[in-house]
Amino acid sequence: MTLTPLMRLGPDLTSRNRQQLLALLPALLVLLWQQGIAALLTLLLSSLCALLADALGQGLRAQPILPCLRQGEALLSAVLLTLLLPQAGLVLGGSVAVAILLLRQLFGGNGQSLFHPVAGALLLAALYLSPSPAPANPGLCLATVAGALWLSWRGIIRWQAPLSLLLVVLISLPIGSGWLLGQPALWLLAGWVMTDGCSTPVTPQGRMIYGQTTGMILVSVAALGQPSSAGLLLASILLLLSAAVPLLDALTLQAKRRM
Amino acid sequence: MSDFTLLPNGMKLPSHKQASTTRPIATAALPAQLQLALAGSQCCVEPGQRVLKYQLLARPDNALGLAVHAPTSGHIHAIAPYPQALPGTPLQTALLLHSDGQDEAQPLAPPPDRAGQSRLELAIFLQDMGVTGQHGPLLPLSWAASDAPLELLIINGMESEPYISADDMLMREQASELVAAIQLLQQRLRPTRLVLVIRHDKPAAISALRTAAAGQTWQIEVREAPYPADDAPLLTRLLGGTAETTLCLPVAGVHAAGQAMQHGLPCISRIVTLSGAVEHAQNIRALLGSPARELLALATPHPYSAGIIHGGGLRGFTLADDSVAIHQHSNGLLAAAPRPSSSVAAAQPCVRCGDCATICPSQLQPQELYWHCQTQDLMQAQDWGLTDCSQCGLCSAVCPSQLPLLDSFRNSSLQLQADQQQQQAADSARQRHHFRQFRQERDKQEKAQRLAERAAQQAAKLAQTPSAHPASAAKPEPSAADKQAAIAAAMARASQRQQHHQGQTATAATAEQDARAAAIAANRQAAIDAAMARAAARKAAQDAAKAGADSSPSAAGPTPAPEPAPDKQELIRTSMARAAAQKAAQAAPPAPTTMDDDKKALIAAAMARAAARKAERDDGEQET
Amino acid sequence: MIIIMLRLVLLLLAIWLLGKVLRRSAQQLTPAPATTAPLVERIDAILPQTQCGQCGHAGCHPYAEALAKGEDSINRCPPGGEAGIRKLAALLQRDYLPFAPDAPPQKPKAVALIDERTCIGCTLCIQACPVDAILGSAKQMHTVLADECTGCELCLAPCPVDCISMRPVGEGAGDWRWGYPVIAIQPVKSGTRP
Repeated sequence: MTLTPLMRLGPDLTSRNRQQLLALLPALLVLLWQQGIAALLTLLLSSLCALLADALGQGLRAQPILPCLRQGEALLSAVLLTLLLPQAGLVLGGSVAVAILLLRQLFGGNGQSLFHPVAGALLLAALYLSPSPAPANPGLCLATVAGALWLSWRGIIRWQAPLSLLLVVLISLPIGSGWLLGQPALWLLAGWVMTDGCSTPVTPQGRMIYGQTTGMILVSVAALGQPSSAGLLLASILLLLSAAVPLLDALTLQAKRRM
Repeated sequence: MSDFTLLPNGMKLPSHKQASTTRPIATAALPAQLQLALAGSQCCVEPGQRVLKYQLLARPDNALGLAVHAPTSGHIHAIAPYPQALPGTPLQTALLLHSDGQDEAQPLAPPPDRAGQSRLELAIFLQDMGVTGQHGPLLPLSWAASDAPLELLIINGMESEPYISADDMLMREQASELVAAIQLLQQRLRPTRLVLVIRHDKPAAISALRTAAAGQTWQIEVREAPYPADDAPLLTRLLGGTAETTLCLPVAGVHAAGQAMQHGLPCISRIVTLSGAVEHAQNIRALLGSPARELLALATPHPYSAGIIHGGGLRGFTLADDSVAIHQHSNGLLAAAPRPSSSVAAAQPCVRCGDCATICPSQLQPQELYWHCQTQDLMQAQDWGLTDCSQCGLCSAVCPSQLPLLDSFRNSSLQLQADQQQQQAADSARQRHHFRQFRQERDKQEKAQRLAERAAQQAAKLAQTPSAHPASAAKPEPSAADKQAAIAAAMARASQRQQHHQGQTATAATAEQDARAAAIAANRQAAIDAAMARAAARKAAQDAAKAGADSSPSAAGPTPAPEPAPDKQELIRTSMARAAAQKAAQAAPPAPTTMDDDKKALIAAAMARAAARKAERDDGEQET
Repeated sequence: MIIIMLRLVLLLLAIWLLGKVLRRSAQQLTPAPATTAPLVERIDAILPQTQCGQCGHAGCHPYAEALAKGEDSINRCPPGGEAGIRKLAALLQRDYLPFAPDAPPQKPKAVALIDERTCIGCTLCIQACPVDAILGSAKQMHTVLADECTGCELCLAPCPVDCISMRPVGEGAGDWRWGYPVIAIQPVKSGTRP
């Protein structure tokens, strides 16, 4: 018997994921309005692939399937990827499935994935797509930012990492990082991937360092190298820095310990 | 520090207190049976006995125990282990009292003369009246027995736990009695500063108290503090006191202490908030030992309510058995509403959202702490601040994965406490064992020394009386040197052991949290050290005397003889006396009759049993 | 295509290596507890100090010495229980060993009680007690200091009249304090017995 308290003061996992999905709705509507049926097809395909892969993974690990699907982690990944690569179609479906199997289910499911599946799927999809810079899309960017702000106000996501990243990008505008701001991928990854708990540091200080480091690498590559896909670039940096999360945690938690 | 608990979604912590403060405090009907736990107390009635209201049923038998008085008249039905309204519901010995409905009271003993009472006497009086504070008796006996100055006395009326309004209603309705009780405590304990601290969300109680306390020399302080504000260490810090010179007393306990000091009334009831999923949320004055289900029925729980929660909205826990009795700490009984089906799912793994760390009032990292508590790594858990956890339950309430953080911390801190006790016992056993070994060694050496001395004397005598062969005269010299070497070695060993002991106590002391236990251990260690030092000194003295004697055996020939003589003579005298006594005892015919025939038979039987057992064991050994 | 694949594999390899290195340095950041006491004393601190001799040594300290020299296995102490074996395994960096099947059974904590009606005052138990927890003198009734008794049972055998019995110590709610909750009662795992 668990002796749970009477009061619940925060949303549970399902509700958190639902709210994150809800926050993507404006961006999704903008995308559908801009790109029409193709985007819708991509959305359906990637969602289906993600859910199937998640179900397969749960089944292979002999875990309950339906509660996990209902929690919506896989669906959230699929929607995010649709917004990132709306025209990838089949490639996207395949890469999201592989990413969910490899980076989510292989690590042990919910709460265990040290590398974010969305970032992994972006990298996978890049194998088959030309890494050309996407055109600026202010409408989609604005819709995404609105959703992220709402999430932050609801307390679902923590602002430290995205804000640190944004500050670095803004400070380095003079060296030519301005084009990043027009890329929906920046906002989507900053608002939904950099705020994920498992692949980012757990302390506020750690999140700030994480955001700043991401920003500095991003800006230096984006400004000095030749322009390429912002999403692919950011995803690679995030994956790389996920490996540094234990170190950041150990550094920032050190002071919290009672020795 | 913000004045309210900020939840992850930026909202304030809801208090849910309004519902239960609309009605005045009601009095619960007399229950048919009451169940009174004997926590740290010794029962002084027997099953079947009729008892009157206020009659003493159990005496406290340790510093944390409390006296138990009969809440009403009736018969003691049983004394047996019953489940208790505690997290984890352990069984505990309890009295089952069947009330006879007459509520017949015994005359109250007048309270003792108050003027000349020391604070220890007052603390013992309150313990005997069953007045409870936060831990055990209202005034902790260890504090009352010490001569620590009392600079700040806090009367804790914060009551920040959601749903609970028992203290609030007490302060509203019985403000004048409470003020009188505080005044009495002020006269007796003479604190430098006395503060009744009350949370801003109780305006009615504040105005009632202000009216009643007009002209008093102590202050009423209204504070806006976030949720676990009623936690004594936090409150002490908030009011600028230090842990050593501050005492924090709950309002309910102070009220009960006032009743005891003014009228000699033992504490037999308390105010309980009935709330949650009920029709008529209210506060009632309930007799201690009343069944939880019967009490909650007075507030008419909704038919769909699922189970009873004992305590408040955050610290409370579900009662496994609805029929358990309320106790001194039962400030609330809440009917639980069933959870929406989506959130019934079992605990999910931690997603490292960090909400628990953000909300933790003690600035801990509950997610790390939980990990170590789950793996039973209590050392690590201590490093992560398990002992600083005030067990407020906020982390459990915000966790999106619904991890049982509070339960885990409760279990682990109890485990830690048990481990520390065990470690203390082991350390004490080690000390005693070492001392015993030391003592045995010392006795052996002393005996050897005595024998050697005697031999030396005899040799000396021999050498003197028959005007000696030169060979035998030379003999004592090397033996004396031998002896000296042996004694020096023994002393070295003793001092080594002493150092080793000191090293051990040093490590033990760091581990020990309980200052008192450390003091006792230090005392004991000091005693052992002193004994060892004494022994070493004595040996050194003997050594010196002997060395003096040995260095001039021929010059001071007869002098060493009289020195050990008194010892020896005394020994002989005592042994002769013993022999005489033995003889007398044998000769005296009444000796066998002094021994009880009963006992003789018993011993004979026991010896036969022991012999049989030993024979059996021998047989067994032979077979194997 | 193959080049891209190669690049990807190299990237993943690099990430993995970086993770390894960083994790190693993170582990080094968490300091090991400073221990200066000699190994024997650290082992002795784990042992329960019952001095019962069930390990085959003359007390806890001799057993600790044997363990420090690597002359005995870590599963010889029934009063220490499995938790004790785990602690020893962690300290000595050995593998966890379950109790041997022929090991003396683990018993709940008990203290000795002298039956005063049969005690003849022979002082044999006083001499046997390793922690001086028995009081008394020749021809006088003896008694056990329950607070100091470790439950080693060494006094049972020498008693000529068999007047000492072991009484289990109830581990009930004892002196629970509010805020210090009590462990839930858990069903004891029943061992598989033939």
